[in-house]
Amino acid sequence: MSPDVQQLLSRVTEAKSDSNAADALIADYMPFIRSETAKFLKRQPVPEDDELSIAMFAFYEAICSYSRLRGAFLKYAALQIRSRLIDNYRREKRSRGQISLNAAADDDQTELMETIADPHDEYDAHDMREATQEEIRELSEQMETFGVSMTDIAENAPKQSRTLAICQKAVYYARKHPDVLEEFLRTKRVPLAKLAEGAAVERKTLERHRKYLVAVLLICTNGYEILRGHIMQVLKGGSQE
Amino acid sequence: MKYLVMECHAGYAVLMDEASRFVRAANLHYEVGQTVTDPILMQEDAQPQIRVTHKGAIRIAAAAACLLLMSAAGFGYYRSSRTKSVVVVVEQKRYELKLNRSGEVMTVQHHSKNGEEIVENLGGQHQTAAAVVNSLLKNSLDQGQISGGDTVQIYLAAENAKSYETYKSEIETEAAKLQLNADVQGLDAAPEPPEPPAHENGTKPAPEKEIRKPDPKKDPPPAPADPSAPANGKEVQEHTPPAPPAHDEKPTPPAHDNAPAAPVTESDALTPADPPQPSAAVDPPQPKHDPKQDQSEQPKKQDEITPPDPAAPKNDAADKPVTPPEPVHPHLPKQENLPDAGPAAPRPAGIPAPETPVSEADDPAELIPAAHLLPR
Repeated sequence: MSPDVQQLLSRVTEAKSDSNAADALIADYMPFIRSETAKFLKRQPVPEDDELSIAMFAFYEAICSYSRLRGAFLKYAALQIRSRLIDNYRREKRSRGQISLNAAADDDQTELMETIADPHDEYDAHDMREATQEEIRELSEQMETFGVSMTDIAENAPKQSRTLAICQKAVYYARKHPDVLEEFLRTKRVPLAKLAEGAAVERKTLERHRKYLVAVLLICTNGYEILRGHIMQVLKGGSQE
Repeated sequence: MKYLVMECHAGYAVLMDEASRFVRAANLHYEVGQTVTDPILMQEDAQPQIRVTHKGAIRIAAAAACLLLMSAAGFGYYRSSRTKSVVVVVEQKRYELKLNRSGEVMTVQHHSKNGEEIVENLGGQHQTAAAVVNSLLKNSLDQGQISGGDTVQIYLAAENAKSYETYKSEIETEAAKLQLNADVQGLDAAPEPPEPPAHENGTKPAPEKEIRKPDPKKDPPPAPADPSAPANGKEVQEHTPPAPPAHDEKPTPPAHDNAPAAPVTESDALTPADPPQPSAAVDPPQPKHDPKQDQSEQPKKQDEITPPDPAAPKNDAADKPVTPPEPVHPHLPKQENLPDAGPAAPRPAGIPAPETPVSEADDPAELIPAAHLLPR
């Protein structure tokens, strides 16, 4: 095994657990990703192409799912990229009979989207997005004090509906008992025992998804109205499926 | 379902759906805070696992079964070969039988030279302790070492009381068949095996010989050696004492005053060069000594083997020739008839009498000084 391959494998192993290392690895292998995209598109991709974004995402998936049993990493990543691009092509093919809003109108150079009346106020939407960004930034900073990041939460979030329902039940109990949330903010520890006892759920299930509970319980505290509004149905006690 | 973009990276974006589920998706030029509806979600596939084929599973199972069988067999052999009980038979000689868990004799230890021959004639393996004891006693009866009605000391140690009683009753039954009385006691009461005499160079020979009973199927027992011939002429020389000098302050010089004692040949070994003359002028050797006296003579043991120097001065106690150990020999006169022979010391049970010329007469190499046979 050559030193380059060994170095690549060590970087892949590191990128599995470190999002910054994954970003750096993707940036370093952008020529490879472009090359694989070009093979599929039969042309050089431009940064605006969704195919290039999907190829980068496929490369990240290859990082997360790679093991030595799968063979050489670059061959595996190339296969992943090609499979993802094919999937995307098939998905786009289904909506091929539809007309794009960016298509030109009949008579002049105006786009079709411009001819349609917009029910949303563009300025309000811009303000709303900025406020949402601010909330998400605050949430990320507060989550750092708990030692978790968004990527950690995405990895630790419950995948099965049953597990998700258990966690939502515990969050609902915490929202109904502000003292639990106060204790959570004061001690910076998830009161698993109280949540498990109060919500009548298994503590072990909550322990497995502690990072996810940190994020959702923080959203339940004051200061995150937009985010709370996004998951309002969950906080009201029902699960949205 | 709507997804809120929570974090954007080069290769992916973290989204939160309305069910508060956090997912990773392709970053199709998203911005943080943007709401998207149809993202490309990450496929959470399981890590590849090592597939075990049907053939491989059979091989693994077969190997595991073989290993288990071998372990079980080894453990069974280990359990069956462990010494669980000990039987010590003391008549004229001492035999130590080691029994396994099922009461079969595994090894027989003896403390005499011709005991090896006796052990070899015992037969194959898988004999019970009672059968081996029967064979040993029968052999002693045939050789005349014991006679009908005698009491034989047998010491027994078993792993539990039930086994002890079983072995005891079996041995007593076998002894009764030979018209012998078996005095079966616990192994704690057994006398210590006699120590062999020290050699001239100070090294001790192997204290006891352990013979694993031969399996007649595998290796037939060798033909018995000629009992009249000693095993080794050199060994005979080492153990054959010179003419016993007198026991008083003025030891009688050796028979050959001018010449040192000639090397003893095998034929000479059976008959001492100078048998003691039971006369009034020369005190005959003492067959039995007082234990206290023996203790005082203990440091002289090393010198007892060296032949006395006839030219040495006789007045000095330090330079006087050391009295060699009293040889026990059938040709010697009975010690009870000796003039200075004192009363016989009380002999503990099981200790062979030193004056009995039974087995030692057959093999002079097995002569044991009397001091070694007395209790300490």
